[in-house]
Amino acid sequence: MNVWIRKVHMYLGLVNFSLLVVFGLAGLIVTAEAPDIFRQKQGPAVTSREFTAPPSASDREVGQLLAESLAPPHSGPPVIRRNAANQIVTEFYSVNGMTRVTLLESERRAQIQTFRNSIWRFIDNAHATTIGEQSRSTAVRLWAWYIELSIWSLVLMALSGVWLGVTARWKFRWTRVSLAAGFAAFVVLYWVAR
Amino acid sequence: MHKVVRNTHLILGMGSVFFVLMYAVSAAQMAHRIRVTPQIVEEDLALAPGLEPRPLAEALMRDRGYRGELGNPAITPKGFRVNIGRPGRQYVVNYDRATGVAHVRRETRSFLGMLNRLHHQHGLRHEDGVLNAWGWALLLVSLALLAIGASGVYLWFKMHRERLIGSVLLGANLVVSLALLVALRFQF
Repeated sequence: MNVWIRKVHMYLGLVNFSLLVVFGLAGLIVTAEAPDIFRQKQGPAVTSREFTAPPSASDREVGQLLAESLAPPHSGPPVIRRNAANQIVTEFYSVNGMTRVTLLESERRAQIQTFRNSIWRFIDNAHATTIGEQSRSTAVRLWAWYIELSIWSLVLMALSGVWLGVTARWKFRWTRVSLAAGFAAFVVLYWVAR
Repeated sequence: MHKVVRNTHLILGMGSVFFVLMYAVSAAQMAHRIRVTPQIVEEDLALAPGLEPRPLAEALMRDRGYRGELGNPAITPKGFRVNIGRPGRQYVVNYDRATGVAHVRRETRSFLGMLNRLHHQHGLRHEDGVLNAWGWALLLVSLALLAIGASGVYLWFKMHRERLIGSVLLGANLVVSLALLVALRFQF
């Protein structure tokens, strides 16, 4: 049976290799506290285009109209609010950062600020793109399903790895030491963080 | 060389398996939006009036056993509101400067809720040593994950009978994932 478990362990690792790298890099990126879109040196790119809000529309309807015409690729549902200057602001979040559209009603114009993130924050966002995302983008959906596959593969790889270590390499002292040390570290850290 | 890589793969895997399972289970919880409802208890405490956020937090930690990191205070009409928390427990303290009354909302997280919070725990510059310890754990597990992946590919490559099917699987992984990442980044 161990022959087949080893094969499954290995094949899952190969099918998910690049996603394991993404997961590992994401951990390093947040540990290093790589600047996010609001703290990075490069400010937002600002453009504008003509836009007239229908006089009878609610804020939500105006936000939806802005979303239909200006939503960037891969973004999720817009977040619609009014800012301190009482302007309608519609924000679109995606794996690439955030796009903020501010409606300048008196000028019949929409100002578009594009906060594009660094490649590091892109990787961090990619690792967090799951099937819970509400995006209509095909690329986002496919990537999210690949992440889903990787999550469950990680569970299977962890369990099959422990099985292989315990059944095939138990006499090797470091198998027992590393498993016990990892377990003890996890239990202690969990306990003190309660 | 082969023996060293094989043992390294084994030791890193065994040492990090519980952390990896924690990240995977909490990722599944988030992806499937499984609700994690904390247990909530509210109470009013009589404290000295006129305290600032840090002395207030110090008093609560010293006299009432609160633990965790102090969050950014938010100004309220009568005083301020602060969060003090660790992954397993969060205190939201609404303090009235004039009377010294603090309304405390204590949220105790379930096992899944705790895993969720631990998944998000990162950074090595917290004032709370426990949070720094989890930051170090994340750093070490991330490095271990990268090393396990690289050593796993090496170990597969040394198994000559598995090269064909392994190449197909690894090739498919690289082509599909890189194509998707490029599509996401360059907005195709």
